[in-house]
Amino acid sequence: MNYTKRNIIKLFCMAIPLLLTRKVCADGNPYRDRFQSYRQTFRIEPNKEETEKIIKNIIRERTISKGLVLLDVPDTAEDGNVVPVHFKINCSMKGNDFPKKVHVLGLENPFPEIATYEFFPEVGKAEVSFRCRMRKSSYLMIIAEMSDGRIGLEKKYVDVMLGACS
Amino acid sequence: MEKLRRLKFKELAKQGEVIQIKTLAEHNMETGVRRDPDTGVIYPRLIIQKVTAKYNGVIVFKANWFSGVSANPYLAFFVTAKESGLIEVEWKDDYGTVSYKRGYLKVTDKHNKEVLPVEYNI
Repeated sequence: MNYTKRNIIKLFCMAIPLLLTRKVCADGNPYRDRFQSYRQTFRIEPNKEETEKIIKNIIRERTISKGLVLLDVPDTAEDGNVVPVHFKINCSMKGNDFPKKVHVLGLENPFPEIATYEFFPEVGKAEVSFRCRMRKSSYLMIIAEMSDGRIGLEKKYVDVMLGACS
Repeated sequence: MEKLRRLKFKELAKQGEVIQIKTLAEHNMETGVRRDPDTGVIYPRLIIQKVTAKYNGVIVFKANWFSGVSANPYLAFFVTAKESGLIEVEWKDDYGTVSYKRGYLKVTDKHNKEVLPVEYNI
């Protein structure tokens, strides 16, 4: 390639969008590891800064209203591979009063986001039960994004006897 | 080998009733953070990423899963019974392989007549 003025300008123009996209991806985007299976990452140590970034990115300067989320987790879980989680969101599933998205985060997991659930007004109750993995005894957090812009947050400490390696 | 997928709910429901739907998938949800103890080779990540539930062709519930969900994932959610029809659940893998399971829900009104999604006269 010739280092002419035109080519150098072209290179700079190509570099600008690349830099911008890198900044967006690095900023604790909850969907950051969409391509994880291709990148083949290996991480066991939890990253506290990243979890904070992820939580900040979900909440995005909105105020938290109390009493929205009811979380039901055992205080002590025998096996970290199977921790039964049951949550319910206090709302009347009518009009604008339903949760759009509910995030389940296990703080101090190597990849803190466990699951996100999307609800539609056809569902009668915003209530889900499933089982998750936890590496250490730590907080389990649920963030509910309501369709009218409110946010509910609830966290509970779970004592894990035998940690999972996720 | 064909993996087990299970879908369970009330067969007969009243109109306006909220019913629980339970699903179970047989999958060992490899997280991608585990090494072979002898050779040190990383087991590649292979999990179920998405679960969608449809009721008469309308999406009712969606779940996006990451590596923190347990092996053989169990999931239970709720749906209001409006009319009788199909309930379909779809599991999507990391590699895009999709598996389905569906069942028929029969809904009756006050006079014990079936509520069909389309009215017709024969």
